[in-house]
Amino acid sequence: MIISAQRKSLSGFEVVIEAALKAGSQSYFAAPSPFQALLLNEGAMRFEEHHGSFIQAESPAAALAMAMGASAVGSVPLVTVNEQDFLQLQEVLSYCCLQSRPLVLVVVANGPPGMERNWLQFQSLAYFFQPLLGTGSPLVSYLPSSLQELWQHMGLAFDASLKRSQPVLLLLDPLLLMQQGPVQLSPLPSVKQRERELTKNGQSLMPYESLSICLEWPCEHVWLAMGVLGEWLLQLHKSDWNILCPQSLSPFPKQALREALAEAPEGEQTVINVIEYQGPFLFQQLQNILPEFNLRSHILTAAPEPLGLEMKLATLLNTACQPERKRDV
Amino acid sequence: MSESEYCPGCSHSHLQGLLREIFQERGLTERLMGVVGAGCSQDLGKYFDFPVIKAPPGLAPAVAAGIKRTTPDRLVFTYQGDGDLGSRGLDALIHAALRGDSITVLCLNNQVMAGSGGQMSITTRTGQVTTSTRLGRSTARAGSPLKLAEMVARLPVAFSQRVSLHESDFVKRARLALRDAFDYQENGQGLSFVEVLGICPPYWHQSPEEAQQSLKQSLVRHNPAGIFKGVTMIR
Repeated sequence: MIISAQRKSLSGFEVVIEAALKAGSQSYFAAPSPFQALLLNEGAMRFEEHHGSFIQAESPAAALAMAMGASAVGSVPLVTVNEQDFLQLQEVLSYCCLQSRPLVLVVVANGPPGMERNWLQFQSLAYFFQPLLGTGSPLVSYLPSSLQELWQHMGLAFDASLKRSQPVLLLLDPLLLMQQGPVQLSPLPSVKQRERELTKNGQSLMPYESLSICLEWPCEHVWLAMGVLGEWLLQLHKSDWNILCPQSLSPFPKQALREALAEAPEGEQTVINVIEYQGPFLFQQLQNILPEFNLRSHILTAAPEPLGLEMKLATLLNTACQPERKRDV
Repeated sequence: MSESEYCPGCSHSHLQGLLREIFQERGLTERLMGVVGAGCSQDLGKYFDFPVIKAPPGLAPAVAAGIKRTTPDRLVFTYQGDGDLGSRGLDALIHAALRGDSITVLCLNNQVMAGSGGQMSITTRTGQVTTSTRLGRSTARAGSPLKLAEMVARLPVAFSQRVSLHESDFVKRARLALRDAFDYQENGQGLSFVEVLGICPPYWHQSPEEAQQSLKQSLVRHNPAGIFKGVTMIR
């Protein structure tokens, strides 16, 4: 039975599985790997309870191959993989793209391929861009920043996948996987008994605004961050900071961003502070997407936490604003 | 039905003719779904009307398992070569067999990697000349060949048989084996595996007649035909 209560306290992995069932997915395939196994454990039980098909595959590539077969006979399957397994998947994912098979692929970004450690920690956006750019096909990639958004995005992912007849990526931050909190179990568009319709790429994919915004002019600074970091920024509730948090990497909500920034008072050149962890990955992408804006890159060297984030950002701003000092040798 | 684009004497067209005969005779075409791997076998969809999916190399049994679990009333078979099944995707076959997925796996074993230009494959017999073993396959340098049907028979499958296409008597047996394989699937008894020994005259560097003779010899020396496993069929 699908949980029918409207508001319930759920963990991130439970949200993914519940939303998939609510959206009408009939089959789930996965191979065990660290942290993504949380989804596997939950999904194995729930899908079998729900008379769906579940196979624990021998390898992530085999899991995606099974999903490819299942989507060939009318199902929209769910596949969950680890970031490290994603490289092995690329070949099969390319096949799925070329044969236009609808399926939803949840990628748990718990560490880059080849990393020595496998800890559950805050991840840099580099590992979100890697699945996005890997296949060569422009795939719809959602990047939820909170549990409620995760619920909504799962529904949207199944819907978009069926509409466009292609795989859709949902990039899941490992912190979101473990997080627990109240989720409004709102109705999702169901994929059951719907004819597959191919739509043009120009169709809007996000029925609601694809940008979490906290904008009040005049302001002191404009920040742009994605994922869990963006959600933390929004939760700071600083009155003199404007915060932009895009919810999908592809297609990037550039129109919504431009509209939001068009309201800025004239005569001032707005500087958008792009904040991210480890390297300027998002900044490099944004330079291509939004060439007309004045972007400034801020890189956090240590993994951020919600506590003390405000202080960290203030120090970053101070160091960036100060003129460079000459070093004495 | 379009004209065959296989080489003269190729066993693929022979086996596909047998399959067509069986499908028409049983009236299975509406429920059928084929999965092909990489190599010469990937042209199967050209010659049949039912949907044929091109799987990633080696993963055809996994794709078939996904189809079968989602729609159990369909008849799903994979049509693979020995390079695709034995080299790239042996793990997919073994896991499908262990899971007990009721699919039919057909392997056309022509003992050479024909699709890529006649290199040594995992089932190439000892002493056979291929483009990557110019002096014949030596077990010292290139290892020993794999006996697929015997290996699959050790797994919990319903049916495992090796048949050959070099003589009319053997073709009759091949037809019976293919029928049995689909019957086992229809009964849901588990994976059924048929290894069909065929010839590849261009990459065996022989004429079709010579190739048939050498297949006959290899049948005696290396790959005996026969049923290696067959559980009691539910009638």
